[in-house]
Amino acid sequence: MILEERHRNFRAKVREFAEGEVAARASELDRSGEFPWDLVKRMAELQLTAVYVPQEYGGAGLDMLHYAIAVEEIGRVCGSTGIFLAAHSSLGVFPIYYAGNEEQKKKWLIPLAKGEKIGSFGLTEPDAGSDAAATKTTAKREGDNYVVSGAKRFITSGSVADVLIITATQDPSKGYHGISAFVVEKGTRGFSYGKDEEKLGLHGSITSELIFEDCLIPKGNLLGKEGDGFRIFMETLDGGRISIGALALGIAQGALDAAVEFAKTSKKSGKPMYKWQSTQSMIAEMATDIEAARLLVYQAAALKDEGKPYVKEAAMAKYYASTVGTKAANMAIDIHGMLGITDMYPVERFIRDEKLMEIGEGTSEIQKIVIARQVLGK
Amino acid sequence: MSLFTINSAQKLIRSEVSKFTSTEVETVASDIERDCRIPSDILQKISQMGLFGLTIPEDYEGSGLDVTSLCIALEELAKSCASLAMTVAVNNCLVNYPLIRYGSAEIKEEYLKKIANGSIGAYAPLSDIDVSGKECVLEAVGDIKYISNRYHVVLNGTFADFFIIPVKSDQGISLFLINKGAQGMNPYGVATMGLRSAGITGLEFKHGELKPDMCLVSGESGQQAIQSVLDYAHIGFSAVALGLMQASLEASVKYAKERKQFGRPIAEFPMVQEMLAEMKIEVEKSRLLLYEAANRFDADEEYRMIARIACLTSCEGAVKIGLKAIQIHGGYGYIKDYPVERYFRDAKSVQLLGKAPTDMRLQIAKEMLL
Repeated sequence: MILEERHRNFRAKVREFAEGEVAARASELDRSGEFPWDLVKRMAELQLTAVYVPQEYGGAGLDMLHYAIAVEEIGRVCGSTGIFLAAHSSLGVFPIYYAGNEEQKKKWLIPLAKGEKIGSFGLTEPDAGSDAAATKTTAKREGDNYVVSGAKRFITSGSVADVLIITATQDPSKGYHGISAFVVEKGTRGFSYGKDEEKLGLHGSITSELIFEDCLIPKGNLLGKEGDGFRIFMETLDGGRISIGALALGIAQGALDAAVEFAKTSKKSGKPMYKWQSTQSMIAEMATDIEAARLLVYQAAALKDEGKPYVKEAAMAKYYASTVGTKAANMAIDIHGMLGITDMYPVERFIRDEKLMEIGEGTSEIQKIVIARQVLGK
Repeated sequence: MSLFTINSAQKLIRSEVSKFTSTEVETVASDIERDCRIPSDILQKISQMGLFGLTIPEDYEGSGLDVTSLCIALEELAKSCASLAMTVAVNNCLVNYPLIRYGSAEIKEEYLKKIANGSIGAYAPLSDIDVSGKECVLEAVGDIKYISNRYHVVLNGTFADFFIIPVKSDQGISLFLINKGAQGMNPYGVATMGLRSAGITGLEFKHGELKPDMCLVSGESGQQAIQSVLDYAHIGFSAVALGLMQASLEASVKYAKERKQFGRPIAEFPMVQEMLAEMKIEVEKSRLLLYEAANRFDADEEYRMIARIACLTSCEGAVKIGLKAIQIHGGYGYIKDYPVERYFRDAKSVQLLGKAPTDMRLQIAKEMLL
């Protein structure tokens, strides 16, 4: 897909920041597991925290394709910073942009979009993963408040977020029609955190457990109407898939870049690595897979920008980019030989980061179900 | 009927090692991973069970068992802790084997007996990839050589009492034995993706002394010797990978039966069943290849080609299965509360400490094209 000049220029701008300020931090974030507060601040200054949100709501006023490019470029140098950006923009910002009323947008969307506040999305529960509608967290209306009780797990940026959108059911017997979405602010009484997870990769991204014990949430924090929760989170995840596809693409490109660099600078049995046909074969395979993934991701973003149906294409983009991304990240290690598993080279990080792209925001299996449903029309 | 019959000694070793891992290793496997260290009492027990000297002849106070027995022991160990299995694999395949095959009578007498009584040896695989551009420098003073070189990956490095080092020169490759703490030898820390407790270090030599009586093999036969050692090690690495595969599969079956989504165990969904089936196929395929290779070695038949195929298949399979096990576990597979992410990292590490898959394929092809 041939990008317009405005998208190309935007990529150049994001790349300059990514290579200049983020890349050098990636290995350290992976080792320390610290959250990159400073990079979040820089992304806010550069208007990257809500690329696709209109300027009147504090965003950059650009489109989904710009946003996908931003996530790709950040993810290319640092998966942890990339997943922060994707989760904040698609899961923290979007539900309020999509379903919030004017008052809610003024109160929460603007500071989130400007990056003054960090957003997060509490959907997954210990027993509600792929089956997201099986939420056990409950919300009971009491006067001007909802009383929320329950627990959420695997919540990206959960314990560092200022504003969280959570789902809870008012009536489990109604299934997904009983689910509503609420905004919860950090520090609300009855809202606390369990442990942050230790993970295979994405060590610089915080993954939290959220605990709600008779947590009082004002009725003005309800997004949309009661029972709108399912519609809101499905729409959120549809768009979120584009960002995870973009991140999978970026991480895969980062792995390819590392493999290319290694092939150009090392020798195997006395001959430059890149001159070996087996190296060329792997590089070609990775590059072709990644380019195909890029087309799918950009296509899904462009369709959403044009207001056309994009659910199938977004699921395909996420499924394909994460599948070939893991394969490419695996090959990138192989090109390094035994040095690829040591801390002499950053290459083993890519597959550890990339693997989550096959799981988060809908596993590959769920994506296949979404795609099949669309293709079969049933 | 199975293609392979397991004799009573082999049955015994499986039950002994499995009993040991279930009582002493499984309970501390996550501590071992967190601390990046195998506790010394576990290493001591491994030694007391005769596992470090498993393939050392009884004349040298070893256990005198065959390679099939070694594979069984490694497979069982790797199911609980691949780092521990790797330590035993390296000692038997990359240390004992070259000592037995190429060591002088004096070296055998001294070092094999040491291992049989609790010493651990290290091996520094020679990579054909050159990243530094610096060549290994050898200086000769009389009949003593001095080496200046860097080995980025030394297996069993932190545990070892002595090291087997391949040294490349114009005359070919030699294998030297060097005692721990020898002059000019500086170990340095290396962090690895997996096998984080297997004692992997880097080793730098600055004018390190190579004594002529500590040379196992040199000159033209050196290259061939190293290849023989590596071919033999393929069997051991393959067994470690097989244990990891088995662990990934068992964890996945258990999780799929327990985890409920959409009102039923996820094991009832065809997409999950397909993944489990593919995993099982990989395990069985690898097991047949591995024990075929081990049997051929024990029967003194040509085994090298099948060992390479076994190693390639089981290492690739272990990586693939490791990733699938994470997938089946979903979010839980990605966190350290469950062991499957470790199985994957360990599998990828075993694979590349052996031989990169492309190189292994080329070697298999070359053998046919000779």
